[in-house]
Amino acid sequence: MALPKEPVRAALALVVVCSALTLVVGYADAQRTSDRITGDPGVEDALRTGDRSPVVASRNATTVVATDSNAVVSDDGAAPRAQAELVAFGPDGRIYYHGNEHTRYWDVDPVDGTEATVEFVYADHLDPADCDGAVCTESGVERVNLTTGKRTAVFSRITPGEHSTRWHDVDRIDDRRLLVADIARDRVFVVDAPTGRVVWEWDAQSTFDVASGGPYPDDWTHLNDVEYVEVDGREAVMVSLRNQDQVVFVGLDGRLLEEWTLGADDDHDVLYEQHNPDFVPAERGGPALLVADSENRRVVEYGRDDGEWVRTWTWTDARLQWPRDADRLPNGHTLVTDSNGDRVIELDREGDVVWTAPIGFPYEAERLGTGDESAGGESARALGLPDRHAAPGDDSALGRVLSAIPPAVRNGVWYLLPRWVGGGEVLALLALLVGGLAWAVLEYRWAERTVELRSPLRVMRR
Amino acid sequence: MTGGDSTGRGPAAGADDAATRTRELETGTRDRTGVGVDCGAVDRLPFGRRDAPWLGIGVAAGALVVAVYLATNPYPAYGGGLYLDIAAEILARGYALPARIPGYTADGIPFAYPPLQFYLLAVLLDVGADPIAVARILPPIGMLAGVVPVYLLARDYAGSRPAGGIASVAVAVNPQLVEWHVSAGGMVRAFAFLYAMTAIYAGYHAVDDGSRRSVVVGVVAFAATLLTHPTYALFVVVTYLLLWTVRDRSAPGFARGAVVGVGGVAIALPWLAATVTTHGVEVFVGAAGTHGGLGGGLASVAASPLTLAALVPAGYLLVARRDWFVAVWTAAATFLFSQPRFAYAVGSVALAAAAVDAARRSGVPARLRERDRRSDGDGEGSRTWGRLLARVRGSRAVDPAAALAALCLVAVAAGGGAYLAHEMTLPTDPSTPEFLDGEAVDAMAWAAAGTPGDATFVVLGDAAEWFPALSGRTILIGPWGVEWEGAEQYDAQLAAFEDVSSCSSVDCVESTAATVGDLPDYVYVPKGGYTVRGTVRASFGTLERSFEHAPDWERAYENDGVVVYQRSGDEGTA
Repeated sequence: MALPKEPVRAALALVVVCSALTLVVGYADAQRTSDRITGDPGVEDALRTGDRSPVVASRNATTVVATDSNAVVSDDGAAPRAQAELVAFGPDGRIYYHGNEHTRYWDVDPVDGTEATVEFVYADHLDPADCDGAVCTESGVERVNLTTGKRTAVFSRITPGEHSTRWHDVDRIDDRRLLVADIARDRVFVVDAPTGRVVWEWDAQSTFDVASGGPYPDDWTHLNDVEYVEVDGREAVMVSLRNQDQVVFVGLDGRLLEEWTLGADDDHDVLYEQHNPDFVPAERGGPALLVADSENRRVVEYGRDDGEWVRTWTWTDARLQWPRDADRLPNGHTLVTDSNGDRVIELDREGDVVWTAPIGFPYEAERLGTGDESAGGESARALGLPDRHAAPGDDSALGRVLSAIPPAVRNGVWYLLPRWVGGGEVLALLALLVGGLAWAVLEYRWAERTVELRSPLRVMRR
Repeated sequence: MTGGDSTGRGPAAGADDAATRTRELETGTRDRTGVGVDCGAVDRLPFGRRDAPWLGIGVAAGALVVAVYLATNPYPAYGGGLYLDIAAEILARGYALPARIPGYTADGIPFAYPPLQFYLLAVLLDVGADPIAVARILPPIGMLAGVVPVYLLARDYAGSRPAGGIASVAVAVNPQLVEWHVSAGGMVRAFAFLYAMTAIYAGYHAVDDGSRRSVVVGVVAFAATLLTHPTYALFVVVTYLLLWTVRDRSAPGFARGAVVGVGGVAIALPWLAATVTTHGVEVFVGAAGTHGGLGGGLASVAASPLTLAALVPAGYLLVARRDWFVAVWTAAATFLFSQPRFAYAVGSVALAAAAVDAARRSGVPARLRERDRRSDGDGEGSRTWGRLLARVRGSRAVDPAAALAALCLVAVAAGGGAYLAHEMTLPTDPSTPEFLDGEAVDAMAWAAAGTPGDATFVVLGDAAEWFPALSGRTILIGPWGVEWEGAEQYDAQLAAFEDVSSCSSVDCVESTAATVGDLPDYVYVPKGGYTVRGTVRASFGTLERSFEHAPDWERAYENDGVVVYQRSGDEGTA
């Protein structure tokens, strides 16, 4: 049956115009209000304009935040979530330090014996001219005095053939040795930083099959976090294999301590592509692991019962999107970095949010004076922290459609899209594409003229 | 002025029916040849009363933009300090041409800029004008005046007054043209654009009509362009070459173009001779490659493909009317010049001609007129458009097509003004960022009064451009005017300026200063937000804390927006 021309044409025109208008209005509004992150844009506005008035609530110490960038094609961009930065909020709530010299910022750790000096992991996308015409990236560790701005290079290496950053975490063992999580080569190594000599290494292929985790060799383990720990009275290295959904412990002899492994490949009830696990030892109420369970949109803690990991704490709220760091502070609070929620938040012992720093696409945060990551904090079990689950979600039709999208896909899309593109805009974009295409096809069918493509060459059998 | 019907057309058009001609110019229906109608040479004032509404829309759009700019910019956008410093130096020398301009880098810079506008500025300063006010007010005047030759050129080229209106509105609200002509540098650039478009308008008639008066106007306008800005002069030369090669190719046409070129150069010869005598030819050669150079448009297009939009109407005219001149002219402006404003200026004329042509082909103006005629005839006025026109027309005949075109132009002008208002009020204003604010002016006044005359400064951020002009002290780092020393020195100064303006520590400032010379006596540090090459940067006190911790530096001056550090032990020399 032929479609009635005029009503269909009018309906498709309506779809195209409405969806285009939705996108234009969304974009214009984002431009007008500069609200291109989720939540209050005050911090981002201050970072762009140099406003020195307080932009977050006061705390008793400085908070340092390293931010990622969602600029995929270029190194940087104008939008807040595209700007990779190292930002320190002073105790008075003002921005105390701002650095954006590098292409990406990842792990940030306080330096022992200093008041306001941090070491951070960075990446710089180098010009092909610096790498014999090939694509390459310099990953490294740098130290900066947040008070005076003095920067000191600590250690770096160039990764050939990669234009994405491949070290996301480095743990200092002592004043010479660094423990490096090397995503590019799916390994962990200890380097003597002053000489650059690698003194210990564990290769994930020594233990794991390349059929596990992510695509080999492009992004097989996504080994994103390391920590030098002591378990069962011996030194070991804790490793986060994001794409295997596991946190594993490796003895210095290179053997996996299997009984300590948390999670299993694709066992998403336990962990789902986690980030920044922190080990809490027995003397502080552990053993326990505080983990940003990223794709599950929650922060979790696991404790040991009879040699098994059991979940002892869960926290989430309606806004939490892709958490990538959680640190237990000495006062029992938890500092959570919510990457796609564009915020760093501090939870008190009741699970209430008592402090928020709204900032575009944060990766990791540290509260100075509280030790490296969770070094000064106790386990949730010892503190008796109550679980907190998200309030009932958005039960609108749009909310139900969006919640049906797998978390990994949703977070991937959210990673790429500018912040002003919300659920409505995504649907409008789809409607525009589908409606526009359908309209064009129908108009072609209704038209009296046809278009034929012919090659200027015709091949014939003899 | 020759009366209400005057369109600036030559006497040959006098036999035409006046009413028909008027309608043709208003609606663009006259041109059936694919080239502009013979609107005549510049034998008298080239416009009359009927141009007023269409030119008025363009000027009103420009006035709206200027009003927005002045309302949102208490200080001039971008830099104008060097220009004012040059004018002050000319004044100090009793209007003689200076050889060097002190204050910009340790040795100063050679003065090889075309001097016409600087003499105008010197006169303004001589009669007591405030330099900052001059930098804020004079460019908008030049920008508004520049709308007029654009209107005339588009009107005559397309044979349509609405086309003139379209081009003038497009130029008045184009963000690129506004950015570079309304800002402080417009003291030179806006007037260079005015002179250049006047020369091109005259050249169009000189080549096409053989008008002698057009040749005279062309000579004067080209000379003024040559004595104002070399890039705009090059734009005129390229346009003349294209006018002749694409539209004319006759010996008389070549002769008329040559007269304009030779005449303009002859007028500028005393300055050229004086400059070459003082600095040698190499001063021009060295500067040629520092601002993109001829052919730099390719890089600009790669960086900002939006510039290619100017080619769309030109492409239309090429396909629809075989109009090679506009196509080649737009391509030349797009790909030869690294500054997109040339492409947009030419594109505005192309847009106007294309819009009028498309409107005519669509038949909409004819249908509107027919409908209007019918509603007049049956006396019902039943159509909305007819009723509206009937209400506003009174006893005067109003062409409904022209009214619709005017309505669209007013809407575009309002939209353009609103968009620019939006941009100019953003915290990170990308089109008219101010290099100065009240605190910067106060700090420069302190430097003038509180430091020795030979004190040297490193000024972080774009306020450096204004610093020598407003303080009378020397900056050691800054690219302004250094292009006349050659590309190598210019690049070194530019890199040092950008680097030092991003420093967060004393070590960084000292090591960067060392790349181009000695350490300064003072370092001027802006607090909070400031701009570097027009892009907003933010500082949160790290560099200030670094200076406070440095044993060799001490704070010499501070206000809410600026802190100045002095090198310890320099009190005797600085």
